[in-house]
Formats: sequence, structure tokens, C-alpha cells
Amino acid sequence: MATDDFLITGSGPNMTRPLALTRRLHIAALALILLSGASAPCCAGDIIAQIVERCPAQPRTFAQVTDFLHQTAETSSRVHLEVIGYSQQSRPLWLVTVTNPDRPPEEKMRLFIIARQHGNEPAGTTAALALIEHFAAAPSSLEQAVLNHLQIIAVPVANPDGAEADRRANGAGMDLNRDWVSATQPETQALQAAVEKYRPHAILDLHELPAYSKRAAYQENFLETVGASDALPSQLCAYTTAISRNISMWMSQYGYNLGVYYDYPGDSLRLCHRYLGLYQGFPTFLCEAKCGPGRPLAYRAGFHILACVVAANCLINGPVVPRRQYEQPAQVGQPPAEPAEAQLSSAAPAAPPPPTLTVQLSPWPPSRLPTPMEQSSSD
Amino acid sequence: MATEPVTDTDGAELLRLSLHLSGGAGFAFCTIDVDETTKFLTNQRHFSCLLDVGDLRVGESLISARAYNASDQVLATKELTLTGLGVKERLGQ
Repeated sequence: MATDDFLITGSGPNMTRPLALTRRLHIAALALILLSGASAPCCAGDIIAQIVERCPAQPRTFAQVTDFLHQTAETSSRVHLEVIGYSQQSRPLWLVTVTNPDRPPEEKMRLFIIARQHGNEPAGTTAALALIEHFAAAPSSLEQAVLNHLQIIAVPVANPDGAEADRRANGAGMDLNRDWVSATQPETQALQAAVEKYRPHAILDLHELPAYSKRAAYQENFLETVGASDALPSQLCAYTTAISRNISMWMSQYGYNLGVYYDYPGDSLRLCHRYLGLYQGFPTFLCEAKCGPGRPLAYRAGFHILACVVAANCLINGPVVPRRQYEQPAQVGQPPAEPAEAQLSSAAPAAPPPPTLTVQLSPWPPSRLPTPMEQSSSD
Repeated sequence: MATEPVTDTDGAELLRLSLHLSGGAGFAFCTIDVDETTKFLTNQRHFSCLLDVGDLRVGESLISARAYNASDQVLATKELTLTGLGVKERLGQ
């Protein structure tokens, strides 16, 4: 399978402290077509494929997760393991950071991953552990360069009681992803404190959709994040809009169908991504991977891994358009291509002609980390 | 573009919007806006999405579907306004 490295032609984000991007990072030599159906073949140079290859066929138990984290922390100086609290049934809530410890933290973007608030949704944990393992090993100069500019912060099992019992709720029977306003549960309190401590530049909350559901919205993979609104900080909206659009394009590249729903003030804040996004002003993304036939654990975890890597790439480099699907990068002095002909209709779908666009990257506007909003809870 | 009223399992009243994009060289994604507020984005050429009926006003709300290329250029637009339970096409290409 051919690889397809892309050029980074956009300007990187200018955050509170400009990143020392003397070397443009080619974060991901992301290849075309990876995860079609059950197979997840690895192709050289494709960081997504390499990470997905680390996913086991079956979910790890909580004891296995704990052993894995200890072992990884003991063998890699890039990994730091801490306990941020305890569950209702006194299981530890692990928080893992992966980065280059020799680089000052203030020079790094912080990507925060929350996995498995619902104990019966293991793909997020699988994805988080694969990312941790891969970047802990940092098998090439690519990963090492990334970790000079990125701190991965992950809570791989946010609901260990539910994970142990393979059920949605925590040990007290509470749905943790409806507890973010009242924060009655120790797991929610610990996560809120951790987010406040690390002040991430982006947060991904990883979930799964059941294979069969009568819920109309639960029929396919989706993201949910803050929409563009004058009532919200412009920097926050710029992050969420740009990153969600970029994730959408990369999902196409890897064969994942994706919908993105946007949230606005007035939506219930009881859910993690809305509380942290709409209320606290962190660019937060709910990631829902659809279960079902032909969608094994590695496939669902791959969805989350891709979302995390693209979000990280956006934080460091700004959005980068997949080159293979959308053709050549922009060239200086060359005008953008004319809009291709397209029609939105109710007619029968037709196979699209090959794309011929010249890619011109959008400007990447964020200039500083969004600050928490002065907003009271309405839920 | 077609619509269908849906009552979700939690009682939420929704409007399912189904849409097909034909042609579409360079298609990257499609957005659904209600009164210029983006509610949904998809990387699919053929999809359905759900709109909260509470966001819609019959005879007033403008539902816009826009297809974009990777440079955020609009490739095609389709707009609708609601008339009762049905949907009447107002503009389009």
C-alpha cells in the first residue's frame, strides 16, 4: 500500500506562546485507505496504521490496563503515570502524560483524552492505550519531534467500576456523562480538577454507539462540538470549526463515514463535551464510534486514534488537507481552482468525477488559548 | 433533498433531512445550516441528518445545504423553507 506524505504549507497556530517550529513537523505520513472493514493492515510510514496495529482484538480488563500503564511508565522516560482520584468503588483513576520531558511544558500543546466514561464502551480505552504505547516507544524521529511540541494527557479509563462490570454507569449506578453540572460523583470531580490543572488546548471525549439503536442520531459515527456563534468566544469557535472540518476530511481518507453535530448555548451542559466546551471554553470534541458487524474493536479504536492524531496535528501545525484525496498542495502564484460543478439534489447518486482541485489551505486564526467563559450553568 | 418528521426514543421532535450530492468533483464535506447557523457537517455525499424541530419555524426558517471543497469553497447550495409538515423547495441549483 502506497504512502502519501503531505506538505505542510499552512502557517502554524500562534498560541499564547509561539511554538518554536523551526522545523515544520510532518506529523503524519498518513496513507490513503487503511481501515476498510475488519482489516487494519499496516503500511510503512503510516502513523495511523502503526498505532492501530497496537490494538488488541479484545478489550483489556481494568487489571490489565493497570499493569500495562505501570509497565509503560517504567520502561519509557516519556511517560508519567499518576492517580487523580478514586472511583465510587475505590479503583484508581489513572492519568497518563506522554511527552518529551526535556522540553519545557510551556512550549507544548496539550491534547487531553478522556476515554470510557461509559464502562461498556472499550474502544476509547483501546485507542488511548495504543496512542500511549506508540508515543512512549517513539519508534521514529517523527514521534520524537511530535513530542517536542505535544503533551498527550490521557485518562484511559474514566469509569473503572463500569469497565470492570461492563456496564454504562459507575459503581453508584450514575451515568457519568450526565453528571458534569452537578458533579456528584468522584470520577467527575477528578476529571474536572484534572482539566483545570492541565488547561488543555483540545479535549477529546471518546465513546461508542451501540450496534443497534432506535435512537435516530445513533446510526453512524459522529463528532459533536461547539458551533460557530457570536455568543461564544471567537477563538473557541475557530478551533472547533477548523478541527472538526479537518477531522472530517481525514475520516474520508480512511474510509470512515462521519457526521458532525454542532452545539450552541442553551444545549444541556450535563454532558462532558458541552460542559467543557460551551461552559468552560475548552475546544472539546465528543467522538462516537459506531459498533456493529464489520466494525471490530480495532476499527472503532482506529476512528478515535485518527481523530486524536488529526486534532494533535491541528494544534501543532494548523489544519492540513489530505493530499491524496484532494490533490496537489497550493502553489505560490497559482490561483485557486474554479469551483467544480456539483449539484445538491434528490436525484439518484452518481459517481463523482476525479477531483482536480488545487488545495489552498485556510488561514489558521487562533492566536491564543481560549479562556473559560464567564457563564453560569443553566442545567 | 427530502425531509421526514421523526420522534426520537426520548420524545424529541426532529426533522430528518436526507440529501444526495450528484457530481461533486473536489467534494470535501457538506454542511446543513438553519438560518445561517451550522447544525451539521458530513463527509458523505449521500446522508441524512437530524434537526431539532425547536430550532425551526414553519414558513420562516431557511435550511441551507452547502457542499464545500477542501479549500472551504462552496461547490453547490440548496435552500429550503418549511411549510407545515412538508418542505417546499425555495431555491436551488
